[in-house]
Amino acid sequence: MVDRLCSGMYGCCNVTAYCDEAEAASSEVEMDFLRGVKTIVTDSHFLVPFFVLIAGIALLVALH
Amino acid sequence: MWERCVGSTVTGQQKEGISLHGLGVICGLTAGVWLGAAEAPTKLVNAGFSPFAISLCMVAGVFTARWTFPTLLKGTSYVFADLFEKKHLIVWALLAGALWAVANTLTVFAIRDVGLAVAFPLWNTNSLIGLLWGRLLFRELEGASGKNIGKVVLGTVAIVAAAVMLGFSTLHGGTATGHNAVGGILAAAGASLMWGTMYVPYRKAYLSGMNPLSFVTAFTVGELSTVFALTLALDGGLHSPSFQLFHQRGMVFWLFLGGFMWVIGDLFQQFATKYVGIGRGIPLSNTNQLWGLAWGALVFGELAAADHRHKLLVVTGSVVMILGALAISTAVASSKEQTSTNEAVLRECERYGLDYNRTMMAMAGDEFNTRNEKRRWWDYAIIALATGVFLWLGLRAVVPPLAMDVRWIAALGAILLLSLVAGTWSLWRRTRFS
Repeated sequence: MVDRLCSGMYGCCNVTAYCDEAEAASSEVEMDFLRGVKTIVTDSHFLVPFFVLIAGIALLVALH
Repeated sequence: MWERCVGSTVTGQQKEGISLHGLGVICGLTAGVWLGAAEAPTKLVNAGFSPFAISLCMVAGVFTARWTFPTLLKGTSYVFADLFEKKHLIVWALLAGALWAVANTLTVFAIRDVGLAVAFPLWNTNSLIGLLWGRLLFRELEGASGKNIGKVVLGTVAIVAAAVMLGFSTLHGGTATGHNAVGGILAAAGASLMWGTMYVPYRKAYLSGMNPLSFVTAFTVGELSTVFALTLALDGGLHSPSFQLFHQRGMVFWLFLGGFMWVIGDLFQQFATKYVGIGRGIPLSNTNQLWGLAWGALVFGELAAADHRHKLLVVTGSVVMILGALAISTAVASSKEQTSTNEAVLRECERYGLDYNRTMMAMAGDEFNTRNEKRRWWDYAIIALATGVFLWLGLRAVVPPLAMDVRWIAALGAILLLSLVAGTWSLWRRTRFS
């Protein structure tokens, strides 16, 4: 029922309770995603190879 | 809880048969045999193509082969289930592929500007960089005895020195044609740093219990797309001469074959990284220099005109490399060192919400029957398509008029097959390719 009424954008639903539930679920997914991104980009295991890659690309551009 | 977790013994390590250390050593050495042999087919393509063209074509072959092996051994259902279970590692796989591609392109600039004689020793230090990151980021060798640390560090230094000696033995006269010495040295040092750093994502993935077959499937996407982007950006855009090479069907097969052999070597290298870490696994697979030289000298007669000094370099380099590999092979991790590894695994589990026990089981190659390995119709289609591409190119392949010793091709080919059987059998028996 919730899926049918509120799938897609929130504007599609016309029952406030369903909309609130869906909105909460969606913002939770969003938060999870942002938390996941933050976990990755603050991981030294990511930062070290990432900055080495950036430095390598910069070196390539400078040498070209 | 922490002590209980990290101190616990992994079920898989208690299994009978070959130890995980032994398995890692076999994989590392097999990787060396195949990575070295991968150079042989590319020697048949020396018709003045740009390095970008050679690199792009070889990576296209790598891409084709990379999707075939995981599909053949585990099936796409398994691979994608593994990838999506640890989605965050896809970022690291793409990052590793990009690092490889940029490093490979930097070597082109290094050779152009300072020549192979200067560039080669510099980028061969990548295993030392790997050793450093292994220690700093993954606590490798932490808690190891002084004897084991000595064996690993000296073994790595010996293999780097031997690779340099073997590299020099094939150089005749000055090969530098460039004008920008500082740029060339920076490019070679950059390639070393990037290749050494590329092992960080490898180790990260395996400490999280990912199967190397899944990791390479995502890795190759990062690799091919970066090589493609670099060719477009640095080698003339859509009208790059690199794309012309694909019309030379007689030549393309040899590069695809080189890529195919490289994939087999790289897969064993990945398993070595998983089972003995980057500090031990990478130097062992860097013994590829010895096998590359064997193919060059024995099959293509590259040392036929070598003087006494060059021959001495070959013998000394080979002996030093074998001693280095022997030192690393015998440096079995103690239980104290193993505890540090377990702590590194626990860090991953806590940070990314992974199940510690399951991850430890997967780390030990013990995840039998936990995932669907059933093949779907598209698995067979992928294998058929890739085989078809190789057959189609193979039928059009042209053997250039190069002098080759057929007896040595047979002998080295037999060693290749033998190492493949030994490596595959060991992996299958101990881990079912997990």
